[in-house]
Amino acid sequence: MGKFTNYWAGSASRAGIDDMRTRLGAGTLTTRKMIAVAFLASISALLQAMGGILPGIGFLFSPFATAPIVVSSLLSAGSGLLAYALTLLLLLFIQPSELVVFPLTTGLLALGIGLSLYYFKTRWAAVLVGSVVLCSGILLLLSVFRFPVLGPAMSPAVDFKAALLMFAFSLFYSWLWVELSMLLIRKLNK
Amino acid sequence: MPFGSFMNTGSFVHKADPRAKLIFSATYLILAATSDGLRDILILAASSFVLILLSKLPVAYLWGGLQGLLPILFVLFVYHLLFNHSLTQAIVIPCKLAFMIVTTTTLTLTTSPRMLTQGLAAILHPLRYFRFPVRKFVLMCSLAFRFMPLLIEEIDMMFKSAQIKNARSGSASLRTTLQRRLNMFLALLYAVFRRADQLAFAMEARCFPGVERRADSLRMGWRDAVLIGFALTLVLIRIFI
Repeated sequence: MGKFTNYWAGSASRAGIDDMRTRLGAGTLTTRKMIAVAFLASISALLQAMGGILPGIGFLFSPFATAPIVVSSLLSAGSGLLAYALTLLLLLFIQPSELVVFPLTTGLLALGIGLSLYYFKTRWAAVLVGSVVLCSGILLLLSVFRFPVLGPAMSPAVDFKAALLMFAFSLFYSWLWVELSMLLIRKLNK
Repeated sequence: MPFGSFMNTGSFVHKADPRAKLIFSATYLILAATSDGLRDILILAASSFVLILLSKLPVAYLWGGLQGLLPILFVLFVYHLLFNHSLTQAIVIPCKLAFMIVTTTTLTLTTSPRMLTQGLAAILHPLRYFRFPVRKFVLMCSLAFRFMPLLIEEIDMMFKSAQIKNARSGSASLRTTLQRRLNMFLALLYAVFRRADQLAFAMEARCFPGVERRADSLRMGWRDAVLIGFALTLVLIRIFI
């Protein structure tokens, strides 16, 4: 039970996140942080736009647009929000078709995970927040914008069973991204 | 991808103020996103056609930008036709996307990145009352616009070097492939932070004082009134007709 509790609620991630922020000069080097966030937003926009520019293989790169926003959010909450807004603006010029998907799925998930890791520094909080925001975004896309974000597998008319399945998928996908984020933090600290 | 390209044809749209162009584009995008039927699509099509004529941009260049999206548009068409059983939705939704892309491409082709950021700074200025860092955001926009081609080049070089390395080592397991992708992404992050370091050092060496207010050199004229009037007409047509 100790290992299980430590994994989900332990402070191991706390040390890693604080180390990363110190290493990247999050609190002190404001000009460098501003420039880094601008570049991270550019990379996020480029990766998200790949889905439209390179149909087929490009969709393999689109999900990775989450990572730069997570890294920006770990520098500071304001940086994460600015990176999100800047990515939206860049997508407006590069690939407006992704403006439907990014703000409600990839970007929202990244903000949810990044900000919860920044404030709570525990896995369970990051996974829960990430899954709630992702599920809400997908439901909004399907029911309001009628955009087939999950392909033909999910019809726009969402019932309780479909919503439950969607939440389960969001939980799994959010957990995957939290693990990837923790791996990124460990690698960036080396 | 015609991003960052500015094509100066000296047209009516080129000479308009960037604020008017941003207001028109934002209005058009909202109307396109909320359009529902074929009548709305026809009005959007007519507006796009007028905009392209006024901007004197080569249609072949715009078509080149749209070609990459044809598979997505086709998938959307087929999806709505087969799963929603609605020919109207199958036509409306791909058309909406296409018009949104044409309009934003027209905006970037007729406005230089410097004027675009100045226009953005002017439009977002009231947000400072909500403690939104407008000047900082606009500076980040101009940095992103300026350095995006360099970042694209960096990504391209990394992909090519990864392809050469992987070709030498032959086929690999899923775990190795994922590890390689992660290493490539990490290398990209390191490159980003290195560039940010270099640029920050260069800026501070030249006494960069932080973000400060610059004199606003934008002036609106009759062309801007026409563009904004055009946008208003589209909104009124949507509401009342």
